[in-house]
Amino acid sequence: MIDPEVIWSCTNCGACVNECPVDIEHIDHINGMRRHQVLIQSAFPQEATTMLNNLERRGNPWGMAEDKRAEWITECDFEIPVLDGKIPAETEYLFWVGCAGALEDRAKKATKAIAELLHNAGVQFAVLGPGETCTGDPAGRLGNEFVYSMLAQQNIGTLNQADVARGSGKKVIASCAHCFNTIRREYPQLGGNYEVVHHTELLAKLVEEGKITPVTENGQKITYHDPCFLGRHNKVFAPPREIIGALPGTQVQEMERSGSKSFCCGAGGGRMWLEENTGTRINDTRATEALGTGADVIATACPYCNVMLGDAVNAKKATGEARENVEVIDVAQLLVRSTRLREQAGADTATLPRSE
Amino acid sequence: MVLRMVVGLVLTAVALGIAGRRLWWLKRLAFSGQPAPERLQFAREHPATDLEALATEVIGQRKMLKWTVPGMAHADTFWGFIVLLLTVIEAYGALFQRTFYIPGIGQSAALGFIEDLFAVGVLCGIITFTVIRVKNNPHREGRASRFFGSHTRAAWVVLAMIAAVIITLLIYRGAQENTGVFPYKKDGPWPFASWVVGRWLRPLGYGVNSVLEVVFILAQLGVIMGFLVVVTYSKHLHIGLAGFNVLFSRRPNALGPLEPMRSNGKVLNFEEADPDTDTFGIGKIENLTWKGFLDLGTCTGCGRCQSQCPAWATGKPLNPKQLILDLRTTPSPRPRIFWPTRTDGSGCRRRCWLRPTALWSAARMSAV
Repeated sequence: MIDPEVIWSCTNCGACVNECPVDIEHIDHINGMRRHQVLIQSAFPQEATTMLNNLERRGNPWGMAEDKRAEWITECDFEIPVLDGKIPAETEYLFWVGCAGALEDRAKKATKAIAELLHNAGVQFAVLGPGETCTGDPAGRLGNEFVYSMLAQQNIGTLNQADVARGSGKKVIASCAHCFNTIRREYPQLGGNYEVVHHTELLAKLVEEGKITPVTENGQKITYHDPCFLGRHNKVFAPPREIIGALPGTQVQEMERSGSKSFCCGAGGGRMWLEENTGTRINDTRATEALGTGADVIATACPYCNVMLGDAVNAKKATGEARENVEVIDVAQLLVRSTRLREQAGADTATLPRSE
Repeated sequence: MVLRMVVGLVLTAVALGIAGRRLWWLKRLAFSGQPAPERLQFAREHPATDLEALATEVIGQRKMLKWTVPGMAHADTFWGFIVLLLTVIEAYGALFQRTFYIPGIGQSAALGFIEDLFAVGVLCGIITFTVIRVKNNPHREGRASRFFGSHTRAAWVVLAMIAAVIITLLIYRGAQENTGVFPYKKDGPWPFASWVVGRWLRPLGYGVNSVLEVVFILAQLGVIMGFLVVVTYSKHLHIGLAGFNVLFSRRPNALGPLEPMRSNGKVLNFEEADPDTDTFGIGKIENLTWKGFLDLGTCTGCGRCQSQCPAWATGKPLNPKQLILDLRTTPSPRPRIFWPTRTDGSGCRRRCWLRPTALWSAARMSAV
């Protein structure tokens, strides 16, 4: 007999599947049980109800108005084309911003950093703005396949209308590890095939090609947290590290659990939207590990990790367990700072610690 | 000679009968679930990928060796079992002809050495496992032990049986040296372990050694046959199932995308799906596909998954190993998997997932 709390505790981080010597598929079983609980029993953690309603009504987990998705664009001091229909021939990339990237304050900073880097590197890209909706990942991972497929179909329609399907020569950039996994690996099941790159993959390539040149030294100690859906699920381990490695004058300290053995931030599998009342908090555990490296910066590459670890570090600052200057930010933000002159650095990222 | 032949063959027939009946039951259980045509189709279309997975993960023990010490111990034992299949042939041969050897290669010093090397390797492996199990004793370490909630009694039985396989093997080979029927008698100390045991047994004389020879050949076959039966009734089914589970697993692994919802092997279309006739996720044990059952049967409860689980590490009730074991102890009369959560703090959860076998009387798969 299985207590339902067992299946709702899973973050879908994939550590079990990755570790199992005989290839047992734990996540598939857990998600199968979630699907049954949700679709047949209508039994799921109550706190998910609001989020799922928001997804159905507004297409984002927070229930914010669609036009809010375009707000960050107006906050950039350069032009970003918002697609209404087909992508222009000369534009190579469609930047899929994601709900968090467009609507959540911390993730918006990463979004703007990515846009600025691409713009300065001369990469032609466009966004969908209010045309995006949630990829459906939080619903699907919580077992609500119904809402997932509704959102997925809608997005596949939008993406196909933009003419960025595989074979068109266009690529989709995803900055959220969950959007990345969903569009790249799950949409093909519904007939949507796209060439999807994660922003860290593209940025690492641009750095390597010399189109982005990090110059400013900051003397910080950085540790990198592998997002589960980028690392373990999709094997993107190296590009974020290459970016960090290219930053001048930084020191990198890996956590003991990193790469394919990385420890979850606690937000996957729809857990971002559920309460965590039993035991200790996963994000707190991971933040403790990250702080244990003595790092000034905990770099991530996913808005969920950013929020979870950011919250945990803030809580630790309040209790004095973390130094005030420690920050949790996206790799793209680190990179953009390093491309600016010192006096301009931190223009949009408020708290750049001056360690000297 | 007739006696050893009759005893050996009767014993084998009985064991194969019991194990065969059990395997037949397990097969029927697995195929009472949902079909998984996509797994068969993938295996048919990608034989090279699947062979590579078998070569690296089963033969090469790639994932086992991610943990160096237990991985090496397991690799020793696994490779040992494969090599020692030759000694099983020799033992059966000796039932019919006392001086039997495997035609062609069966008297070479190299083979004698290799057999003994792997016999000793298996012994080293199980000694390592014993130390690991003592150090990680779940009764002492509680949740922190990766064997927490695993079937530790079954594990001890299996370790004892493997030790018995090797010990009976070395004793009958030692005795064979002294009675002059050892296939490698011309090879001196090359079959080194048998040679040492032979030296110890020599003072007992020819008569005693003849008795030891026949008794321990039969004991060896008895232990192996007993082991075969135990395997089909225990967590050690992985010996037979792991290869199939690797063969039919998702490629490159069961990460990344979730699988689409399927019913009767077809992807569900929500516009036509009917909850009364279609399968919607997993609510009952028969909603699993045969691959799901294969997962359950293959789990040894090693606890590597549990050791990596963030939910378990932070005190949540989810333990991926326990989940698989609990599903496995869901019995064939097929009640629903789920129990309503009790909120009255009556300790249901503890009993629900700690001692599932106490609640599920029809569960047999995990019991030795």
